Amino acid sequence: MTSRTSAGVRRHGDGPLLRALASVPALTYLVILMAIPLALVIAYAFLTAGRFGGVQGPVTLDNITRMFQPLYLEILVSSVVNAGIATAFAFLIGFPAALVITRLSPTWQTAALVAVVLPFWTNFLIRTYAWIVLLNREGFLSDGLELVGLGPVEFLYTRQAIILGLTYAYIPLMVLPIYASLQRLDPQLLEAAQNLGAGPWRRFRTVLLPLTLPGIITGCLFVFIPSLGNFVIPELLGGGNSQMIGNLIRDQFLKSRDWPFGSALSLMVLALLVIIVMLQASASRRTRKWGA
Amino acid sequence: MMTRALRTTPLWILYAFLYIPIAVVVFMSFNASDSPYTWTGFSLQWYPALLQDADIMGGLRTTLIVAVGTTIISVILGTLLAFALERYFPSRFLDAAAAAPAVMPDIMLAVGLLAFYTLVGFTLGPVSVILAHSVFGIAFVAAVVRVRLSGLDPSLEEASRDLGASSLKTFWSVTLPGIRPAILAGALLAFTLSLDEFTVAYFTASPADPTLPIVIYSSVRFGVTPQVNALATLLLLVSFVAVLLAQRTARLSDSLRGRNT
Amino acid sequence: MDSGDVLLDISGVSRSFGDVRALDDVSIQIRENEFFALLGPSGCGKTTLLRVIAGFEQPDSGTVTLDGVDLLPIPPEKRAVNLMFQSYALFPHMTVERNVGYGLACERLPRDEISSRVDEVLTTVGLTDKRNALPKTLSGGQRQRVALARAIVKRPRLLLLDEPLSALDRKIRGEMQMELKRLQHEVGITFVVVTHDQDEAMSLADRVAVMDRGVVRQLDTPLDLYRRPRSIFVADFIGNSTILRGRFDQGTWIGDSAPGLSVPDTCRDAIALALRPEALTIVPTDDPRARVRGEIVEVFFQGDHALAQLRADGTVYLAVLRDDVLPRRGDPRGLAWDESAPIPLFEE
Repeated sequence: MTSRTSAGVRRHGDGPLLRALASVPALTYLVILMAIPLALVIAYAFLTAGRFGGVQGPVTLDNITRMFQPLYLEILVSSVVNAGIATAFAFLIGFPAALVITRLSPTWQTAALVAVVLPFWTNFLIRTYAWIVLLNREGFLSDGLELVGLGPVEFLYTRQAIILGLTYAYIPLMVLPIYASLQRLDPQLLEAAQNLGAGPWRRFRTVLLPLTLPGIITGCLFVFIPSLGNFVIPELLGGGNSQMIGNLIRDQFLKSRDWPFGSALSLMVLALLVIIVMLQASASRRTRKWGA
Repeated sequence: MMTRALRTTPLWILYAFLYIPIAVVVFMSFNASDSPYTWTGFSLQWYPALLQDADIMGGLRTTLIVAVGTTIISVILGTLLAFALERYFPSRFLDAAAAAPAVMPDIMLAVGLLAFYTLVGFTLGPVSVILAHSVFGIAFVAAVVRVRLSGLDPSLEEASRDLGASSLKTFWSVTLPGIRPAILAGALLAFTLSLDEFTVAYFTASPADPTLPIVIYSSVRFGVTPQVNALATLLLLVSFVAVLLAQRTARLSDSLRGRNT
Repeated sequence: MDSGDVLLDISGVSRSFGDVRALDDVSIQIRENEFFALLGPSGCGKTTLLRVIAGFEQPDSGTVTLDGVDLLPIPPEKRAVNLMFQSYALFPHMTVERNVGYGLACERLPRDEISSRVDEVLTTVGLTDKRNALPKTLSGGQRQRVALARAIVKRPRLLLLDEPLSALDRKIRGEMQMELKRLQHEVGITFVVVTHDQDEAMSLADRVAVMDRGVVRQLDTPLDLYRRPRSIFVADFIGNSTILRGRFDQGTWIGDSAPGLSVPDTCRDAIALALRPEALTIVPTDDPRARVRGEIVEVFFQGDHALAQLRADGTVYLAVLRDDVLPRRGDPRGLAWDESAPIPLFEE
């Protein structure tokens, strides 16, 4: 895809010096400040914590096995469940919305997409903070329920509040890739299915879903992974006692100074990321094979 | 008309979900009461109050330094990266590497950078945050500029070379003006990104010199205050304006669509 | 003409998109087992009409009944009408077998019945060996057969075909044309073809409705459309013809060109005359049969025959050449025709 336009320009040839000058600094930067830090995290996961922070020998698998102790395993599982439910909600709200966007006129599509992405580019803390205002016992939602005689209710500091906050924070990232894959879908395929007698649910299950699966998985990846690593939302909306992997990692690095264990937990997140990326890649390969 | 409105319902649900919380914060920032939950009347008092808050002003100063520094590094290196990816060394591997900062969970990068800075003995402060934020910034600028670069008619550059211009002169007089809107949009995005970024800053900033999001975080942990509502409103405004400007200059949505496929 | 049972009754159907009237009071009756064609240039409303019948568009006014039952309140997935899309719209992720069986699976038929009916229809279209192929691996002609099989396996009361041959190479098109005709007889389903290609409509259909800007201009058998077009539009759109505008005055035709032609009384109310090329004979200028005289403008050799353009009194006539010796550009010639040859046209 990238070589298509480049051929013509490269023929005239910017000199090799210029090409190196353009390419080396940025790539060096990303190697030093992204690749090396990542490699450090991976390496630290197999080392032992120093007495006053830092790491030391010997090489060990203790950090990995420690994650499966009941105390931590419980947090890992509930993190995955929370992030999973948030991802599911983001999909349930995001998919129909993306479908609506693809049916707008091109100008409106752009406007609608910008409106979806806009909140994502604003301060994430403030968006989380907004929910404190809404969910608090004295907040709007509770007041509203009180008016109809159902309140006051404390929504804040519950697991539901965490899931809500995660869904809210990352839902724009669900809509974009789904929109992109829906847009590539021939709308006549849906009409064909309908013409052949398929109702809405069957059309979704047999045509829409399989043909947009790569975009859906990408969207789930974009919601699930950052949800897993988030420590602000569990803290602000879940209260002190609901922890997720992100909180554990933060605490290992900034409080208990057990970097190797924190690294091992990060590695776990990375492993989940890699698994989903591989799923996505295999789904895209299949879709390409269909020529869809 | 009725069925048409019905058909767009899912989109309106999404927008309500996205914007109602934001609207509530903005609304409450004009509240006269200092209780964050009860509306007693209209007032602008919390806005000037921000100027009196030393923590917030200090955080703002640090954040602006970080955001400007991040923007400069991101624009220069991100644009160069866009050329490398699009023109000089197109490869799937480099594509993936350049997209990695956008996909990688921010907490991984945060702890990795903390470990790295500690290992090499780099003092935490505004510079360490700038270097960290630029990792994201470069990726975003590269993505935006790249889309524009691929849409650039190569025959213009060939014509310039044909007329005897050196490659450097061609770059300055033909290529750069062609991609200027994308660079501008990328700069706005890198700036907003840095302005609002919390997680990586939290791990790589010096405790003595926190950025504004870190200041907000510490204050929000202890409850809702009317000042924070006012500050939030201003920050939302800055981000909205920056992103809408970026969209106008470079049809940002195209590159966003491109990035995520 | 036999008037079999009416299967589909379209009556007074109108549909506007903004200021554009895509369908303007359209009324058509389609009979059981008929091969019907909706013919017209792009934008004439034929596709909108097709979508109304299939249920993807709702008309602003008018009624559509199938077997006497009001079709409009029935959702597309419940109509006994199937559609073969112009792009075929085959499901790219399903094999030929699953594509064809899709509509039957929607009816929740037992698996072995689906399988036997898919077998049967794949045999009919000659694709049994491609059962497990993905659409991407098929040729254009094979894809079309799959699309056709997918639509007819449902045994609909009515099969709609949207530009069925337009995506095919010229060579395969002829084959498929005959194939469609054969299939229609074999499966005994009423076919409605939408096309902009007059050859396609004329060779396939029992009756053709010619549409223009949302209006049915003429509905007739192909032969009558050709021999007795009522309007300048239809005479021009179907086949080649030379149009002579003017008016009838006591047995002669008064017009800009060819003044004083004697014409029969049937042309009394005509606003123009059409002359088909095969009704014209090119003769030497001194031939007493010549009604007009002029010179040859261009000669088109077509293999089995040749056509010549002849300019006389500012009008360019198109005529079939029957001589073995072709005239050359600039040769003076005359044109002769029978008195009954001019076709009177009564509308624009």
